[in-house]
Amino acid sequence: MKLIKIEMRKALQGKPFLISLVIGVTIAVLGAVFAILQEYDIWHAWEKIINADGTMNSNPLLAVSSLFRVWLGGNVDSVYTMVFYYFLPLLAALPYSWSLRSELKSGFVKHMVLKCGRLRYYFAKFSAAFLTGAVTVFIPLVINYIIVACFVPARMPDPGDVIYHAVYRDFLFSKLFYTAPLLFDIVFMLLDALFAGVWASFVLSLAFFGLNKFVILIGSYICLLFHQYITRVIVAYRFFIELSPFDFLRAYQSGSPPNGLVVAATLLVIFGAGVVVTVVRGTHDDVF
Amino acid sequence: MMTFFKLVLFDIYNGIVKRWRYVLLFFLVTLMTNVILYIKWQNLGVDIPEALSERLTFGDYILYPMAGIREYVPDSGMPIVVPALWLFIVLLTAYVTLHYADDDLHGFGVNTLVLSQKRIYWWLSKCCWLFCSILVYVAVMCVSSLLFVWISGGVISTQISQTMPQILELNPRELVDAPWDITGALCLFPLTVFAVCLIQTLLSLYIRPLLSFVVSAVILLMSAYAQNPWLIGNYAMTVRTDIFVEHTPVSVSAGLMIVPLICVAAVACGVFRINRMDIINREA
Repeated sequence: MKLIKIEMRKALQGKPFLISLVIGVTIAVLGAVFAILQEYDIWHAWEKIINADGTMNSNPLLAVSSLFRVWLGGNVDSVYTMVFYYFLPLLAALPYSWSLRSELKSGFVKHMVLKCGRLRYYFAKFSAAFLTGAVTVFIPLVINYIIVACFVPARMPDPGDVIYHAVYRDFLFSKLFYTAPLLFDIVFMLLDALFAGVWASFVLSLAFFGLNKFVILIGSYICLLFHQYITRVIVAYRFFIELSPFDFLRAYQSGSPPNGLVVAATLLVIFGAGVVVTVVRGTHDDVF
Repeated sequence: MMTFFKLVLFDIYNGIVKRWRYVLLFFLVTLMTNVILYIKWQNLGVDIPEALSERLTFGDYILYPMAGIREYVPDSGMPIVVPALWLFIVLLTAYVTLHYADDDLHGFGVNTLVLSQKRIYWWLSKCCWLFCSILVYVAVMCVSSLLFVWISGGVISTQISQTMPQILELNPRELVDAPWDITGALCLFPLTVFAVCLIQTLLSLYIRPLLSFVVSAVILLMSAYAQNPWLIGNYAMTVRTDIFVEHTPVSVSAGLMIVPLICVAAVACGVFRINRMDIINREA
């Protein structure tokens, strides 16, 4: 536990963590500001629709102008949502996933292994990478949610406005969205943070293959982009389930509907691969 | 001047010939996209048998990875679809050209820089290497497509077949009348990718290479979202150009003028930076 604390301190006090967090928070704040401004425009337009006696000239789609559609994870047509979710794996890996590679290269790992033992040391590194990755993604999402909630009312989503929310019947936890939307959004924030943690620890484990920092961080990201293209080709002809993390992490349907089993299996496979590589290579590789 | 040519040859040997695995990677990736396009065409023929009457051309195969996506209309309520293959190809190029210049400046490059006695030669040599790298990667993509056209019995022509707009999910009402020829895009695409990579290499002289990669990715993602002449990624998206689109297209001829200007500006900024930066005590 002490070792995890030390690693966490190293990770959270490092410049890369700060840079990642600043990038993430900047996207989240810009996303919130522009989304709120857009909603203000919509409310101004309502003045022409709603008469003084409360009657309406046409349907203003009141329930659509809601926190649950406007926040970063649920905003269908926001460029900031797109940028955030496309950078999510990079933001998660940037703070600490490179550290094991650096310590293997510098020889620092020899001291740590002698002092604490292999598995304890690698477990602490793995945990620190997981937690910092998760935190780097979770904080911007929460900040965005709070800012948007300060200005946009949390109107209950109406299933009749489904095309605006893009949360369709076969979407993951769709029932939750129309009954307890706050819980739905929290679940997606946690899912995003979980994926970020899993991805960060997986990228950390790639250090055992002797790859350099660029290949570890950017190469893995490029592979994820390739995976997205391939899954889109497969999905188009075989079955209509979202397979790419770039799409299934959002709280709306951007391609095919995500499936709970597929999401869980993806997380398990990535996490399992990271654990297996760390345990197998960590216990067998000669660090001296 | 002889020193400069020697530096360029050194960079071409070490940055392209010795890194032949990347060239092979581009060949294999293009071959794979060719196979996928062929399968898509065959699948289209199941629903529309007439689609199979016209064979796919070299232009179709080379267009497929360079296509991008049609203009996104914000506030339409539709989710943004990012062109996954286009983004992958351009970011793959940005990735493979990212760390060579930076690695060189942290290793053997410092010695060549000191021995050549002109910092500017080092930077211009890197620009030449980058241009040659992009040309080689695009040439390899063309060779791979030509090979596949020959194997699959396609047509060796730069014209685009009538079935491609359906495969690329373009709106037929937005298109200019056929025939569509890809020659202009074949010049603009590598030039734009070169500009993106050059900006990235330039930024890596100021900030960490990882962050300069993030900047390239932002430019490309923003380009996918907004059709704006200032977002240069638009010039690399062939389906947004006036080759295909009738109303408010990205002009190929404007691109062929603007993108070289951006490249010249980036080279000039690089000259300015390299002459003033502390190379010996640079942070790794």
